[in-house]
Amino acid sequence: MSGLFGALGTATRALFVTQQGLRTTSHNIANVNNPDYSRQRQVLGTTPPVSALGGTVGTGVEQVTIERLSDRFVQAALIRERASSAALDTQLGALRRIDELMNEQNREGLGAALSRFYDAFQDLASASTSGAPIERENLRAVAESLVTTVRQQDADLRQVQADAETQIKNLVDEINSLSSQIATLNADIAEQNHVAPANDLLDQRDALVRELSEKIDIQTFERENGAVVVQLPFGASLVDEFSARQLTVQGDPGNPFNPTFSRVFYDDGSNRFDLTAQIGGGELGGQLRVRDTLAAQSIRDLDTIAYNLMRTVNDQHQLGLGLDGGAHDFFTDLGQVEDAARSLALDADIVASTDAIAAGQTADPGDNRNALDLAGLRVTASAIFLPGDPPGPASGPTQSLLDYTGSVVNRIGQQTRGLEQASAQRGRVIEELEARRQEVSGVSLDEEVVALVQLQATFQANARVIATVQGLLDEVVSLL
Amino acid sequence: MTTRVTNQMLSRFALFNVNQSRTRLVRLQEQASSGLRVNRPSDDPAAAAQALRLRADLDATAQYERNLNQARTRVAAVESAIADAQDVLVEARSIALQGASDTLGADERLQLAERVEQLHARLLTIGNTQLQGAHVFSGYASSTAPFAASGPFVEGGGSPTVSFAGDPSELEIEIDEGVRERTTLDGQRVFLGDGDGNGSPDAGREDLYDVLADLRDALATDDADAVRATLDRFDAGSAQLQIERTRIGAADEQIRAAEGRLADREILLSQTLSSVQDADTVEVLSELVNEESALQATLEVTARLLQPSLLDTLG
Repeated sequence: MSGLFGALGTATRALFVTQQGLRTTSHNIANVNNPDYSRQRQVLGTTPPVSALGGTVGTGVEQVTIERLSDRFVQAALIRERASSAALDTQLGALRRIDELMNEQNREGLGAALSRFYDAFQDLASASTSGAPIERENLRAVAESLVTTVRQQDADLRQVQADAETQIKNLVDEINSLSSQIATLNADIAEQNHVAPANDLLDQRDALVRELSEKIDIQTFERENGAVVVQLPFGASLVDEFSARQLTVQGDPGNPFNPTFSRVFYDDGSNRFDLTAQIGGGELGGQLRVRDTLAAQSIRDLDTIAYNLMRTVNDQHQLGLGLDGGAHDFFTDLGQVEDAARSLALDADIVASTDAIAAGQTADPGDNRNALDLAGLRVTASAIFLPGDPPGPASGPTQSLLDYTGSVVNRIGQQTRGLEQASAQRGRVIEELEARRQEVSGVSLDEEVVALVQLQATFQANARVIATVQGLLDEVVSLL
Repeated sequence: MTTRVTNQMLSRFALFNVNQSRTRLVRLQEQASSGLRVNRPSDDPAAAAQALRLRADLDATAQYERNLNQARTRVAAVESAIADAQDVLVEARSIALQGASDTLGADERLQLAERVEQLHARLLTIGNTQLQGAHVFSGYASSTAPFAASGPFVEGGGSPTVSFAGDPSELEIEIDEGVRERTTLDGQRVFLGDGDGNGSPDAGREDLYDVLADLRDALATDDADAVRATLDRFDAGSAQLQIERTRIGAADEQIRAAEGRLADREILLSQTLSSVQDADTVEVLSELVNEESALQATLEVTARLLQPSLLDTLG
């Protein structure tokens, strides 16, 4: 009798385990489209055997655990790649804007405005009327439009910078929120791990870690209790088991562009560390680079163009005399390259009267010698003053301003193209890693259907065992 | 090679491929609609920089062509003024020849003197030639009339002298990169024969107004010898004008040469710019067709790949 009851117990347990298997399979199928889900698998083992009649008799199957299939190395690689890919994409987004701002392929830009400015001096020099009043008016109008172009481009570039600053603040908030969520999940996971593997919570947490890795470059490792430790590149931990540290932002009074631009700090409770220069990855690293390097450099490039324009034109203009007999600046004199683009303006004397324009070396109305020399600046190569140079000598390349403008546009184009290629390459690497992750963790409906068929057969077979035992028991009972 | 193929992998791959194909398609469509191969510097940084330079050069060429027009107008005005002055001298010399004849009486010489006075006035107008309000023989002082007579002619002798009030300079215009060409002449040198600006005619040159005044005085005072004496001076004056006409003619030559050069350069620059930045329409369109059919194929394959599952077979 004990043998029959044993068989009944074995079959009942098997039915129970099969039902668990069905639940796991249906859980898998239900999550087939959940991108964060890691497929789960029932791990089976035999129950302890009993010895009978000198042999050992098996007592059936039990569910050892529900295993979550995930590859830690792929996860680590994804975290790394996502950080650098997000940094590249962020920079690329900003560079594309800058590239488009500087774009002269489809529309009138800085190069065209400069060219027209020099042309206006030619028109002044070859004017046939005495004193060339129309050509003077035209020159002033063209110069005003050049100033507007430079200032507008400066404002647009500064907008790119300001947008990056806004994003930096938002990102720090998002990072803090993600860190807190990860710390909370860590606590839940550790608690549940006492009982059984916290598979679904682990999926949730890994997804958050991946999301965090897009914001900032991190390294992670798992403790024995299942909690993850999230570290910043230089080793300080952002999430240490159940507690999260906060990043903070503070305005930087020393920022050369805007004193409200923030620096990012790490606060470990007792000390604050300035991370601004250390964050290179993730969207945060990307936005910092956009603000402090890419946009900043483009603004300074434009400043350089504006300053050298001001300086070359003024130097030549001062050599001549206006119709009013005086020597004037053409543009308001600026002392430094920094912020020259936003400060570029026509000299007050020129604004007041076009008679201040020095077309000649004398005040004679037909004298066009200085206008000829001013027009000649178009092709005159001179050493370019770079930021920090004035009042010292120029340390830049010897180039005409038009050529220098071309080289700036070219450099931004090269940078954008380089980033586009790097970003596309990162994208393919991530695609490859995602495929790897899916290969291990993804749900295959075909597999699950096969598992369903298997489980169905198992269930039927065990049911048959129970029916058979029931028949046998009926036999035995009928003997009584 | 992957060992497990999961449903999400399939859809990711499909999306990735469709996305790439669409990106290429958008690029091609942009090229086809703008006609440009380079639509932004990052499309081809080297070509964009070259295009920028070429457009600036084209712009400069157009500007030099505008300058040429101005130069031509002014040179033509100067040239015709000198031609007019030559006519005046030819006419005056024939009067001198007539007046030198011993058969002429005092009354007839007086009539001739009046004709010379008119010629003197004509030459004064020529010296003060204006182009759009600017005196072409006044140099930089273009709003000042360069020549003024000291007074009217006096009955029975005493002619006015003509002084130069302009600036003894020649206006230049840039007709090509670094090439400046004179478009006017120094009036003092042309009409007063005073190239060095010392107030009196240089050696071998004549003050044309002075010659006319002397002829007029000689005729008015019935002095045949004095009339004869002016003949050589008229010859010298004509030669002087011819030299000046040659100088301005040389500028004209330069302008014509520059005109041809600029026209050639404009064509060359436009062609180069086009080859640097323009899309090859035929190529773009055929690529567009290719890419469209590639996308079509990708979509069809994707649709097929995503469909089948064991579920279909098991029912």
